[in-house]
Amino acid sequence: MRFWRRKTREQDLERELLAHLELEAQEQQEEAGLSSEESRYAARRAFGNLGTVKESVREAWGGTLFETLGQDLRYAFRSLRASPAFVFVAVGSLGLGIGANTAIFSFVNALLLKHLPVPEPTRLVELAEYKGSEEVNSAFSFPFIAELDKRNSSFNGVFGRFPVRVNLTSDGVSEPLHGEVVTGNYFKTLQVQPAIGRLLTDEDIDTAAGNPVCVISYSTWQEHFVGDAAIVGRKLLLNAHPYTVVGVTQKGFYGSQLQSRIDMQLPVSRMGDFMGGFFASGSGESMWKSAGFNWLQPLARLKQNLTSAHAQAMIDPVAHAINLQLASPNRRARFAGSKTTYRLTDGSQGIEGNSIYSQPITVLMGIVALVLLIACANIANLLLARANARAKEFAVRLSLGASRWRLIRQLMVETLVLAACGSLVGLTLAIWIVHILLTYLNAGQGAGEGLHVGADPPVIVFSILLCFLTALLFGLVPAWQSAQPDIVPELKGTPRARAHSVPLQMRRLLIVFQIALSLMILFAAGLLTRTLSGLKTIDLGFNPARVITLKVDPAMNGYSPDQTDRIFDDVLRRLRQQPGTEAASLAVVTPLEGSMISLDLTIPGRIKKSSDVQTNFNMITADYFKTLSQPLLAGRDFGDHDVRKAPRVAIVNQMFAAQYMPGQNPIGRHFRVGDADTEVVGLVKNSRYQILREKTWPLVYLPAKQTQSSGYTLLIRSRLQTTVAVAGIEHTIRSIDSKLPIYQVRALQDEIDQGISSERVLSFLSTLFGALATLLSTMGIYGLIAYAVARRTREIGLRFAIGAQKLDVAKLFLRESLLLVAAGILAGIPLAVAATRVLNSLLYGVAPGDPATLTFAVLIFLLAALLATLLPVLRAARIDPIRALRYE
Amino acid sequence: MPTNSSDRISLLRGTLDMLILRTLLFGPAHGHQIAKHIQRTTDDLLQIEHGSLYPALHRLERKGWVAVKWESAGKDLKRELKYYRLTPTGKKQLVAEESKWKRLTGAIAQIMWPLKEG
Repeated sequence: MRFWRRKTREQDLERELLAHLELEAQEQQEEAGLSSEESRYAARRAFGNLGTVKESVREAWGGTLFETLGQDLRYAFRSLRASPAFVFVAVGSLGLGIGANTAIFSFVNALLLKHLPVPEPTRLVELAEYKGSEEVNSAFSFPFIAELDKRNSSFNGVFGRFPVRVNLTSDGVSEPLHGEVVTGNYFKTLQVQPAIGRLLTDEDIDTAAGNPVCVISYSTWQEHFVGDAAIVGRKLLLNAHPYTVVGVTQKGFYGSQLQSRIDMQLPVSRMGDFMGGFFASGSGESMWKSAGFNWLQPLARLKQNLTSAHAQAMIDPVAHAINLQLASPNRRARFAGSKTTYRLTDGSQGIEGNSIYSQPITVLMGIVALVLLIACANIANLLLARANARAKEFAVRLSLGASRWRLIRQLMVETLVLAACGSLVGLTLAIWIVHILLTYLNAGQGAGEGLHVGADPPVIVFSILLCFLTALLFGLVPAWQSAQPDIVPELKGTPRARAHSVPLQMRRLLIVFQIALSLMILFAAGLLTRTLSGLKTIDLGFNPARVITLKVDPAMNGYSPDQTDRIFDDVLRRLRQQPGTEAASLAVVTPLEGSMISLDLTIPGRIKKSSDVQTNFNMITADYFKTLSQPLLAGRDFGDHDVRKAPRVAIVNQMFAAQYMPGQNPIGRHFRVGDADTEVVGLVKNSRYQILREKTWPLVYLPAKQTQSSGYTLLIRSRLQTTVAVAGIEHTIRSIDSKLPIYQVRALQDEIDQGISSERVLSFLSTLFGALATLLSTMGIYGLIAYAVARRTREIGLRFAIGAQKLDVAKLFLRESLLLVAAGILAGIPLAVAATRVLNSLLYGVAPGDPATLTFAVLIFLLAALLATLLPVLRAARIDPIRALRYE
Repeated sequence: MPTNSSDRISLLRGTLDMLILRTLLFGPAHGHQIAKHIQRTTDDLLQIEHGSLYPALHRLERKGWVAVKWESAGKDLKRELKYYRLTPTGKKQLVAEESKWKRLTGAIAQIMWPLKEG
């Protein structure tokens, strides 16, 4: 628009002045009787310098900053178009750098910077119980939370929640949703408002038994009920129980966790509807309010004007007093001497706000920042070389009166154009990278689960800032340098040899800097890759290949615990008969899924030692070990006769036997689980249980039918291809009850792979960025040596002419390159060793300063650097002395 | 070049602006006409330099004191000329400049020819 106006204005001026000249000429012709040609000359003479007049008219237009910028821009585009190779390399490397940074920053933004969409999220705190520096409890009982809410003066509300799966049936179709059962203070603490209707309160918890209610999220309201205002008061069938919807939460609220989408909130007292047999049977009706059952994840809001530190200082006595009050009389003594402490941590990201990806993403952010620095150094290097080539142009312009400031501005605009192009490429790249990463990280997760990362405003702002920052980083020094050439020698065409000039020294320094940074990244990549291979080759203790796991919960369809037992018996019997099935079983804890069960275990006649490792449990059916190919070392597997009324039995692992019965045969020995006397009937090999990177736990397996359990996973080892096997399994289950919800169908191997997805991504991306960094810095070396060869072509020709050998000439340049690389590596090693210390907690099976990995990284880099040097050096060795001496 | 050139230019510039505005009081004119008018009315005493006429015209245009229009000249329909016309704000400006100029010349006259004053 502005350019266009300027153009017509220029044309108008041209027309106006020409018309003036014509009129003047006409007049001269008429008055002085000159010939038409003479009169035209006279008119021109009388007018003076046309160009000068035009220029002063333009000045009168008052060029706005925008317009001069436009001029600079046009000039920048023109000068960049003249060197496409330079632009390609510069925009390419900058695009990669900015793209990687923007992509990783999107994750940083989503995982580390975002807060729960509630008022004043930074006043929210999480609570956990610690023994020393080890977290022992991050979930608490209902009475504990209720009491804390009532007593503590530090909080403006405390609530507890537990995530549940909800099976919504309407018109005979069942739909799995995500819900959370919550205590009465949930909405008051979060300060969430209803969009319509009302939200849950303490009263809903009390009256829930007779008249259960629920609150649904705004997006659920829109997507499942098309925003129908009549939803309030409507009855929904949730896990086959009727619930009345009392309200819809405000738009944008998705529950108390940042990285998951919760569809509805339900009263905590209705837990039984969603946890099946465990809660519904026997004493389970009131299980939810049992003081001994720590299951609710807490979140509290600090009172106004109260700092987190202040609240922290007051929490321990209060929590201990509550524990003492709630404990049954015979256990009070145990609490009295309790040494546990309570810690308040930032809850602005909601429950479990600290994602497993938080730390890897921080490391990646550091790595990509280094890559960007290297890319900037590379472009600065190119610009310095370019400045050399353009020294003559600048000398001419300076001698014609252009100010240095004007030249610097011009170059900075060129730089900004480069940066902007790089940012555009980078942004496109970032969107693509984020998409690929999300697809990979969220693989196997249902809708609403997994990570949510988007190009939010902070991400856009970040990439724009990055654009200017990089332009400043790589552009300022070269611009300053090129604006002060030695005018006279440049114009005479005999620029003096710049072997020791400032730009060349600066280029060398930049390369050393690049090499040092690259080595840091390569070293980190090496450590992370060794961690991954270490994790991949861990002995699991079982064989996950060809094992399919899936979850099915008859309780979600309203079946009673006895009915549920019968359905599972039926499912297992039919699956075992199915062709291709090698074994099928049930378990409460799927290996490496991240869950765990710990029960109170006592061994008669043995006093607990402080060195004792906590014992974990799993409830399983017969054939569990056969399904997983986990070797049974002694004794027997569970069988159909191990039912509720039969004597209690257990199978233990080697670690358990080693801890509690060292040097003895564990078979036939007894211990107590809770109050039940239990006999050890089998011994199995140690295996990984909760997560891959754990120490070996002492494990006790109990028969499912002798415990009150729920939330079973079905495990099937099949000879068939996974998809075929899954189809067969689903068909079999549906043939028993077509409405049974089946979810989380996965191959166990995939699930284990998913468990190390962050390590995989970290290893892959750090290697990729390491390669990129190496490529960029070797490009720098290549450029410098190639430049040196080109500059010294005459000299090389002369050397050859007086009898130098190829090797002598090659040595000249090899030495320069080697010195640079050596300096870079020497500077890089201490940096790398120091920097990778932050990786410590991410590594597995390799130490942060591992010398073997460091050596490997150095070797890789040397190889790349050698390659980059050899190419121009070979060219130098092939120089023809005759042609070289004619050169110039 | 004299060292006080900047003073002289700014003085001239203001004067030229006033002369142009005054010339346009007779009606719209193009650049050549304005130059000739000033030249002839002062019996060629004031030679308008084209180097300053056109920048001045464009400056007046930007300030909104004159408006422009491309029109074909009377006899020659093919050639379009850029005509400048005085705007109402231009007229006001002229009045202001005139009184300023009168005061200035009056003041100068008082110093230069004090006897006459008496």
